[in-house]
Amino acid sequence: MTNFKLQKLTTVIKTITLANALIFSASAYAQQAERQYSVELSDPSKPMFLDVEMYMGNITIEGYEGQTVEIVAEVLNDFQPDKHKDKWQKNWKRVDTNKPMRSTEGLTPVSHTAFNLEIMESSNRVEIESEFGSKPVAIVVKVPQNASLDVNLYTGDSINISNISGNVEVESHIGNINGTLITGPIVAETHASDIVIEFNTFSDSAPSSFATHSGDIDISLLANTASTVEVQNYQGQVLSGLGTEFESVDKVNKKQRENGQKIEIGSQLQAKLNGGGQVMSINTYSGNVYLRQK
Amino acid sequence: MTDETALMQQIQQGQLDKLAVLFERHHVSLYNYFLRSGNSPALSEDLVQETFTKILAYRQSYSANGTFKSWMYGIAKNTMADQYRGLAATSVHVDADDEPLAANHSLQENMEQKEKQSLFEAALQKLPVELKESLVLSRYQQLNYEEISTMVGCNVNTFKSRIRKALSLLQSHYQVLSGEGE
Amino acid sequence: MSKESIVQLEDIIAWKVQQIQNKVNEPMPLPMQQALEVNNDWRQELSFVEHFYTSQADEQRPSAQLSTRFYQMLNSAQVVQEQRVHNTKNNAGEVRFQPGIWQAISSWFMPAPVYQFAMLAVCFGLGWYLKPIDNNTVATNHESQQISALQNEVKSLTTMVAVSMLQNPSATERLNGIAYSASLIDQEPQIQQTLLKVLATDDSTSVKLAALKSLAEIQNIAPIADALIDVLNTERNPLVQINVLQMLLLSGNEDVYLKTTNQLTNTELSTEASKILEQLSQVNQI
Repeated sequence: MTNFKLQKLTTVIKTITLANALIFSASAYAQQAERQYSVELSDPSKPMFLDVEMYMGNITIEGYEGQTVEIVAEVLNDFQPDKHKDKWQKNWKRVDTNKPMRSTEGLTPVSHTAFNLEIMESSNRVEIESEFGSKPVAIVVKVPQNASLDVNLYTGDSINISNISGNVEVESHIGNINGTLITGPIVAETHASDIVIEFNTFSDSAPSSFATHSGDIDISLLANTASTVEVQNYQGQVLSGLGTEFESVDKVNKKQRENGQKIEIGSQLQAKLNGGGQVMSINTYSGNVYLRQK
Repeated sequence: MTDETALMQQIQQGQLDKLAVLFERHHVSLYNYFLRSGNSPALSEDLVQETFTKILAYRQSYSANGTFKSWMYGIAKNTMADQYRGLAATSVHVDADDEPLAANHSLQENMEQKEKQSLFEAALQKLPVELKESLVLSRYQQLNYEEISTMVGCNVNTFKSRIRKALSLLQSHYQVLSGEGE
Repeated sequence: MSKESIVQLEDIIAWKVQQIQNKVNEPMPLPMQQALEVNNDWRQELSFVEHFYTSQADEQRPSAQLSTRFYQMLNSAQVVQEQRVHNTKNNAGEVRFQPGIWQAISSWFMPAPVYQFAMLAVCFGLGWYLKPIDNNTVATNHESQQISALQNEVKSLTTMVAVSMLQNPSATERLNGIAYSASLIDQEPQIQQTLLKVLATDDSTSVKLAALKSLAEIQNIAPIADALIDVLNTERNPLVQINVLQMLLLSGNEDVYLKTTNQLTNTELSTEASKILEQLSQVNQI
């Protein structure tokens, strides 16, 4: 369902190495598992853009008062992608079952902390990429608070974003998306994982939207938020602690049309918070929707 | 002022970036004009933005006969009028009674000048819109009688009377507010 | 002289104001001085005028946002101008954006509401066509034609911007573009085509769902039915599949209904979408 951009990612990396820009390569065999980088922006007075593409690992992004991008990256030796298997690999089968088991007698595992992480800055755009095949990595990135983000994770525990007032676009195939002190606009998408967002204020500059197939969507809003909240789900519950009543569009709603009638099916709910405002769209097939007032 | 005419001519010829010079020179006073006319800070900013958008849009209609400043305030005045028409249902006019003087920080400061100015501002808000408009353009935007009378569509002598009437009314409100007039 | 007797207070005030504004140091004309000498009330009033005009006037500063918005507007106007020149030179029917153009336009949308562009588009166009403006100008026939030409131009300009927003790499901006283009959906085939392309190729489910919602407002769905059925053949996301199915089967158009159900026999739908299809078939039998 989600179009994870792995192919694009490898192409991008190739392009990066040719680009006339700052390149930080962390692909050396590290002595210690954790590494730190500080990236200066081309023009700190202007808002920056952070693009993160990661195949496996965890991503934490925090807005802070500074004007550089601070990155801490750590290899996750104890990362267990198996624990996520039930969510996405129900039909997954080993095809090499007939292979003979090789003896490991007298052998000990070699701890190896090599990982491949590309960090690039060009015209206030910082790209952090960890490609397929690399060891799982946990990164913590501190960015100026008004940064805009585009974050993609294929598999991991979570993407955590906090204290960001710029645009946020985030996609995780496996792994929860958690956001605190978010201003928006934000567009977030998962397959079966949860999306949990606590808004600080709610930006009216563009719509915000959340989509997941079977994950829960949990949104917290300030009481004075003006927004038109639209919820579409087919199974699962919608639980709201917001002061405003949701209007339900009937399961079957017939509308007269020029050449017939239009009928809508599905649980369509809408609430105009504080008179309504910029649209917040919440879409899930079978997940629950939780709407809370902070 | 002639340099502003020259700038407008350059804008007319396609050098749109020259508008930035005019913006930097006038946007603060234009903002204060909208504030004094009774608009909220947020709306005043919107009106400044809209005025400059119109200046750009109507650039070809500017002729060197008048000053840029008077032309700009003409557009600003019309922009505000459009706004009032659009918001007829919700009053944008802030009445001095609704804007308590106690809320004005400058009154709490013991600076005589500021106090006086606050009273002027408060008294100004009590004037009918037409008189307030003329007085603000004359006193704060420092346009001359000829420029304003052209803008508001009357002859100079009528305008002189209007200003006198506005000042006389302002004075009586000022005296009441300052406790002078019993 | 007889003129002395007709000196009025408003003249004296006008003189005073002029003196203050121009910082002229000339003494007051004698007749005015004499008139003031004999009239205490006038002197008091003039004293008030002087106080009012010379007291310190504190100016408040607008927020930094105002400057940001202005420069974004100016930047966009320059882009529109460049594009206009570019289009005029090339006389090309297809709208092609050079790198940076959509960026300039879209960046303008980030902090400011979409209506600003419409405002600019209309105003910019007006400035192009209407030479003299006056408060009381009555539009002549010729001017009406100009305005009509302008409206067409603005419409195509609006379409151009909408299309560029829909091509923006940022999902947020594409969502904004969908909202912006909603009012044109029934009038502009180019917008419909772009939305269909978004529906077929976009990376973001949110954007696809928003595009579908917008397309659902088209009065006559028949011309785009084939494109929607194609989406069912390629789309794997159940949420999108379900919404497309709803559009096709509940449009009220019998031909579209039949065409869809016939073609669906060869389509591998998700379990979720199949369930909905079952429900929809039941509804259709009601």
